[in-house]
Amino acid sequence: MIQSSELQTDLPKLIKRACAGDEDAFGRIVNLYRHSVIRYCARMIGSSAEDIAQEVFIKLYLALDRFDAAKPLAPFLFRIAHNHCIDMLKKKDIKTTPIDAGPAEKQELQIRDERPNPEEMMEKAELRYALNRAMAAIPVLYRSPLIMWHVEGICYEEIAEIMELPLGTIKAQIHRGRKMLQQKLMEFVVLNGDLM
Amino acid sequence: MNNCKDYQKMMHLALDGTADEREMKRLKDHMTLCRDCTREFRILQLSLDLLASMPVKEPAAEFTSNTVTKAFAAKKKLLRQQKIASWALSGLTVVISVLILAGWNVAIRPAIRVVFLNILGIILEWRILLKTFNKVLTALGKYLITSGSDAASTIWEGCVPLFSGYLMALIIMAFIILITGVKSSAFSFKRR
Repeated sequence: MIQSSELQTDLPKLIKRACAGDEDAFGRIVNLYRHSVIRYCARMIGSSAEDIAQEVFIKLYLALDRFDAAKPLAPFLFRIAHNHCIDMLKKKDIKTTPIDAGPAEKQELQIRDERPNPEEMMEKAELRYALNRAMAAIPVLYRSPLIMWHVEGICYEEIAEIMELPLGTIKAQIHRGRKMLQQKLMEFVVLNGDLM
Repeated sequence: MNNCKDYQKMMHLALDGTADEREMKRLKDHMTLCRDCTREFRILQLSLDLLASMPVKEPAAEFTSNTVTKAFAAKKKLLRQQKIASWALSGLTVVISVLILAGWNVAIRPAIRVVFLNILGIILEWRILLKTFNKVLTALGKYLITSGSDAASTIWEGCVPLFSGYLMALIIMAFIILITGVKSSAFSFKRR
């Protein structure tokens, strides 16, 4: 996961140096993970991802003394990011809109109509818009592992470690999250199909 | 014969990369026949690909330097707060120790005395209750059994404390059984 470079192998040394107060060492750690953390925060919260990512790195630095440098840093960092994003969502009181399982039958009936291919039917920009809306509608519980798995490419075991949940639960959450995403996007397809 | 729902499960296995060759072949075969499943799978695959590849705004050039500066400042602040807290705690410990050593325990003593007296009071009340019980039993014994005989009266008086203690214990036990019985029956009622 994340980048595999020389920095990754030097990471334990960088962590120790950063703990000792070496600003340059911590700067290199930030550089190594900033894209992943900003991307994760952007997918989780949307707005002001950069500020949130900065707060995540500050929290990381404050907790770095307690971290075992021999262990991989990414799960530890993503646990901080995950918890921080959840805290932010709670503070802002942003409530994820629940996915209603009600109109499933209706969708199925409408989808059975003769329709063009989704790629033909939708422009990528439209799909992106729909995707953003669909992602925002997925509850955090499912959104977070879905992003970690599909966007960050973190393996199931590491996601389980980050979220401190059993492996089976993580698999089920990703599966459920994907189903919700599919449901939401199908709604969009149906809606656009009707409009077209 | 599998229906579309089974193939939808297979779609997720395929996306997870956990579907075996047989399952993949069955899914492909089904999708050549089912337009709905093909469309669903394509949308899902396309969305996940887009989700992974969707660009995120490039962080500002000074992101790293700003973050490092803020992180080190936060650490300094935290260390300062910890130092202040530890000094405050040490100071408080010293003040409390001095107060105790300087004789402020006198102020605490009445409180202890109150607790002690309360416990003593309960014991005394218990003794008063026992004594009253003894008197009642003695009077009752004298009236019913001994009918004025001195020897029998003496024996009775000797036995009364034992009887009264025994009876009090029985009453307490009955009381406990009654309470626990009521509680357990209420519990069993709730569970039902």
